Amino acid sequence: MEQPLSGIKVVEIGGTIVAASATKQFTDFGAQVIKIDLPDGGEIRRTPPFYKDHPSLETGAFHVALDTGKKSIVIDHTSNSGKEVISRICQDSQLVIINLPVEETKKIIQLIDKELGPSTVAISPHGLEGPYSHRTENEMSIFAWTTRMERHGHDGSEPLRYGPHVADIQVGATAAAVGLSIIWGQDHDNIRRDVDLSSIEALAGNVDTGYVDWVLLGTQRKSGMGRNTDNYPIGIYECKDGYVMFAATLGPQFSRLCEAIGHPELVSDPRFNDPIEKSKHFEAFMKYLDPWLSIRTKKEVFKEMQEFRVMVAPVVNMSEVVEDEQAVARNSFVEIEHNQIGKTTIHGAPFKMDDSWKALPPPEFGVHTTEILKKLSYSKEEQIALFKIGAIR
Amino acid sequence: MKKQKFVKSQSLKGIKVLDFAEVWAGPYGASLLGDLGADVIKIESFPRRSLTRPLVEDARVADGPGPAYERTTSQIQGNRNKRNIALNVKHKEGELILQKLIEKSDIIIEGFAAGVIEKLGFSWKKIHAINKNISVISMPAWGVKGPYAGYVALGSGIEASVGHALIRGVSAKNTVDIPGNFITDATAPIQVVIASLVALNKRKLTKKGSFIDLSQAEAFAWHLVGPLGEWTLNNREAQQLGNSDRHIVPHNCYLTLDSKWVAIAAENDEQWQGLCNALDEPKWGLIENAWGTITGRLKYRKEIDSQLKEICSKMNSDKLVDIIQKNGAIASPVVDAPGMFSNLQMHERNWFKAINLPYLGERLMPGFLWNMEPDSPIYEFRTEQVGEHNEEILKELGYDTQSIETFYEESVIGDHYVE
Repeated sequence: MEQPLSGIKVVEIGGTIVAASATKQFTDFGAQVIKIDLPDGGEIRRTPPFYKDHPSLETGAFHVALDTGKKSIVIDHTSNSGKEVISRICQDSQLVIINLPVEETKKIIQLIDKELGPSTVAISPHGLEGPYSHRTENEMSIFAWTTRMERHGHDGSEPLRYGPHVADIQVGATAAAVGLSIIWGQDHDNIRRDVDLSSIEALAGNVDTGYVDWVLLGTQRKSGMGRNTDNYPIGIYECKDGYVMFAATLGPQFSRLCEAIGHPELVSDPRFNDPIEKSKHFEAFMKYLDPWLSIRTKKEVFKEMQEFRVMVAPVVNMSEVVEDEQAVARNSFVEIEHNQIGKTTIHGAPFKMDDSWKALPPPEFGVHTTEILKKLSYSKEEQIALFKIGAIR
Repeated sequence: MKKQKFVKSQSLKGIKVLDFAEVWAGPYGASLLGDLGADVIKIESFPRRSLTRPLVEDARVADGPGPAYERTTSQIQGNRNKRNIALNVKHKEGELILQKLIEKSDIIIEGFAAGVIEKLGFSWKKIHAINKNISVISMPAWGVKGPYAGYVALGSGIEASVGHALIRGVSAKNTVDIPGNFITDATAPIQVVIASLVALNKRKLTKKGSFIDLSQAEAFAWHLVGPLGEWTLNNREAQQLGNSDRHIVPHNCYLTLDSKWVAIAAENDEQWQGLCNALDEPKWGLIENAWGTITGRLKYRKEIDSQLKEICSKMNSDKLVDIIQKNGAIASPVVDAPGMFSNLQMHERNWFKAINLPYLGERLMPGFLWNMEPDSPIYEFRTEQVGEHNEEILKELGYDTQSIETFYEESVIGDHYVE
């Protein structure tokens, strides 16, 4: 079956996790993505973990999972000859996604034909212009600028980032969303667009920021480390074989939870049906909840409570996630065949839409260099010359 | 072609979206489509009050005149760039109006628990029979299909269930102390935009719309590439690393003289030398020094960390970030909301937008997730009020003033909730 994005051609330049996450969302839905690999492999190929802890440009988890189905050509984008090759590759595409240091990004944008060329999405930490535009950042430092890290810590103690490169992948997905939209736009109104996407703005503008609370309420809400004993149950609680995550503090949620644990009388108990009284009786409530949790596995807690429509979920690690019955039933994970690793498991489609999504193995470093140059009508002599001066590999 | 200047984004001009979702993830996804130029209509729940406008204990409602449900942060935050019709779809006339809206639309976003929209009488089968070109994005916590169909959760439960909660803490801390977070409310809306565009492209091939089963769990799970790789490639669970990195030293947060935290990292020898220069210890970066190489820095992680702790505690955060950045290493302040608002770069880029909100007056709202030339997004509509565009939308569907009045009388539509 033809995939929804077949026929769309996208170029990725930057060799970063952010850029690779962006173009993954094209290639898995059938677009052709040419990945311009950096001569040193770039961040995406050099980031651990590696298969059997052996560092290699081919076997890093990020490369394996995020470079699926792409074509790889290695080009030194800082050389004039390399730039010329890049400009010809770009001319044959609808979208170019760039995530290089700002000055290098601008030079790539200059290569694009402003009349007939592709649209561009330039990703940078702070945006292409302005007093901080030249700053060097990483996933922790961009995250720090968005209020999430501060809220994730607790009063007076250390702030905390999220999982490794989670923020990067969110930025990449944001770039894919706007990139897909401007391809659609250009198809319909013939106008090419240049997107200037600041990672910090993309994270800071999204809904889970603390900024809007402050602007509208004048106060800041912290999620904060440590158990909330004023309003409960919310957060992580221990059960028989591990932990569950509750969000069952509010009226109907709390009532249904009381019913689920076999104590419907607690709904009208004056200790718990008034917010101020409730905040004084956490220990008393735990005398009912704890025994119920202690004889049930996280899976049992999850299923029994969900029967009462109580918001609770199992807190699991990765070995459990891949075997989770919902994940198995939905094919949330898929296997790809990697020529060095063999069969390996990666995350499946971000949403299910018939057979629109398919993950193919990632390309070896520079494996498509010759094929792409040939298609662009570079002669054998020219290819050798480009190779000899180090513009391609 | 000559460059045109637009007042709003045009990329998705002509695409009509119905937003049938509540709380954060679905509505914000619809707003992002609105930012891109789509015509988005919110089908506001009526007469039942939308969950996006909570008035329960612990709700976040800004002080001001007018109905409280128009002042909730969740409503204001996730509902720009759409029009609003408050419609009783359980009423026969309401159902007919919804049917007419479906006939004219390209995409429906619905965020109920699995099964609820069917109970309202609008199954995918029925919607597709009304308009074969329409695509439906259905986005329950764990998706439409599978044994967890119908289960309910907030973002915190979803992220815990795919393995994030256990890897983002500090190992020394108690597991029960790890706070929940709501990142899935940020990642699902992005996938709503992508699913919409993939469906529109697919429609070009198949000449019909698609049903999209968007599990908010799956839409986020693929952000956990590193932790999954630890398991699948090396058969071990990812560690809780706090703010450290196994292969980068330094990589941490440090408390400064003015009691603020600063995130600092040096990812290679060059950045490390820059950091040493910034901190007035240039010799630490030299090859003769044990800390001058990455292997040396890994070996002396604790010593380097405690030196940085010491130095940072004697400097003010602004100056520290500035001087480290000037020397080419990584540093940023760990900001709260006022700190984010003090970001000079964002002001220079006019990121914050002065928006006149109903009942609350002008507020500096967050800007957009992207800028673009020639048609950057604008706040064409600030957050919509209940039923604000009833007449406008119904007139577009061909109803006259008389019938609209009757709809109000019979509570088919409304412009306020009974509090």
